[in-house]
Amino acid sequence: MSKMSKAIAVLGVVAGLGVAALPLSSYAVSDTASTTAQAIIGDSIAVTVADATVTMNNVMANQDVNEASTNVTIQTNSATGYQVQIKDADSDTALKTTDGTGTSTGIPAGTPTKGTNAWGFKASSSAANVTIGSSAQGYRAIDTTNLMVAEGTAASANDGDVINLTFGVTVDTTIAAGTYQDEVVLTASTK
Amino acid sequence: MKKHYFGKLFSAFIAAFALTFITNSPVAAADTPDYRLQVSPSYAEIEEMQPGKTYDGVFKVQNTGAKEFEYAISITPYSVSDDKYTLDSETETTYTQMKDWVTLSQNSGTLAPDSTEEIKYSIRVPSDAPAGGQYALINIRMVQSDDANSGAAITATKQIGFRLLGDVEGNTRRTGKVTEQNIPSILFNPPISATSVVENTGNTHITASYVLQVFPLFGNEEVYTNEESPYEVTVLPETSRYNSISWDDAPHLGIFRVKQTVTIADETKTIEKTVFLCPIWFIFIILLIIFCIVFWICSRIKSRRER
Repeated sequence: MSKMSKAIAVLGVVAGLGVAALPLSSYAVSDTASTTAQAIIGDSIAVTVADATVTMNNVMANQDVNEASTNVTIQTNSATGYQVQIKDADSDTALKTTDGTGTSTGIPAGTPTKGTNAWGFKASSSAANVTIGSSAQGYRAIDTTNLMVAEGTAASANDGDVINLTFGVTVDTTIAAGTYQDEVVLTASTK
Repeated sequence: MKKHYFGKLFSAFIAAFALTFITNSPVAAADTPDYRLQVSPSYAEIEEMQPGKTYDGVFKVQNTGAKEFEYAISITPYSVSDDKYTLDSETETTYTQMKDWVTLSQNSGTLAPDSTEEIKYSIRVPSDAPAGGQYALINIRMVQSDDANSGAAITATKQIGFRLLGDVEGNTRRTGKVTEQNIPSILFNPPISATSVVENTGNTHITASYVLQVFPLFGNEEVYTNEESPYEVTVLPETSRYNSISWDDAPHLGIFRVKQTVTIADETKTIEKTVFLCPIWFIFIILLIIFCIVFWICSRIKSRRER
């Protein structure tokens, strides 16, 4: 190896060591400080009903249950979950005629069965952490007090927990043709 | 010619790529429902309120949907009607007097899409307010115009209940007990779950916490636990609350030791059981195999006797 080569090799080693040592010495003189980032996330709950009005069209006397459904979506980050309840919006639970042409007493709340005058609701859900109230798994009558529809045992899924709410009605020939309507209130609250 | 062909192919690819984005846009927009009511936070807890004093707070009503809506706010009692904690917003008790103490900055309003309204509430505690828990529910109801219908129609009105949990200082008792604990021994499907009922015997709300631990039949290494973040619920005074806690990702087959620890006030109770988790078809196959073996042994014995 020539003298020149040796010199270059020695310089290379020195330069390499210098470069390697540079960050160490730089960090050695700096002081360290840490900052903790903290975010306090409040809880919230949102409710969506796909169809504000659920209509059961072409209801005929003495037929099987005529039913129509809508989806209720609950979105919450509450770790303890939520509840969804249903009740009639007023003290009259019957489906009442809206244009004055039908039967004034209306269609009473009850379990709809072929040949009877009754309307009711039921619920279902395929969401993993949703439990449908035992009384809402089959048709039951609406009430003036809250009835449990579903319960979420944890925060909802990203796109929300979807609960399918079905209303059903049956009538006999004593119910005059016309339009009958009622309003229910779906209340969602965290647990 | 070949170069020209590749040029066309490249242009078609770019066009298809761009079209994908263009056609995706309405889908993304459709993800926002027309009407979505949101309330944040979902509850407020005011501890150690002093008679004669006023306490203020705020919550937000939000329109996270795509269309404008009106809302109306009302205040009702907040209590429960059973151990499943079915909401009772009608019955008035000594613990629901707070509904008459609350005033709101506004009782109605209109919200444009993506807008928020802050509602201020003020709780004026009477000088003769009884010591202990006080509870009210502030109901935020979306008001929608009726659609024209024919046939039988039901209008489903959306409402969110903002819970107000208060506690008037004085002779408050924070006592409770665990009245029931159960772990099923045989399960045909996951999850592994444990149930319990706790009772608040005091006069103000307390927290019940639930821990579920699952161990293999032999060994003490947990395969599941929520010990780090126990499940907690609020239990209102003079009520019982049922709760179920589960390991949702449990396998379909196994024998485990399951332990549930429930704590309320100063009481902690633990229950431990061996749980056999097995699909019903597997049990049927095992029984069928046993039957075949017994039948084979019997037929062998019979044939030997005949010889």
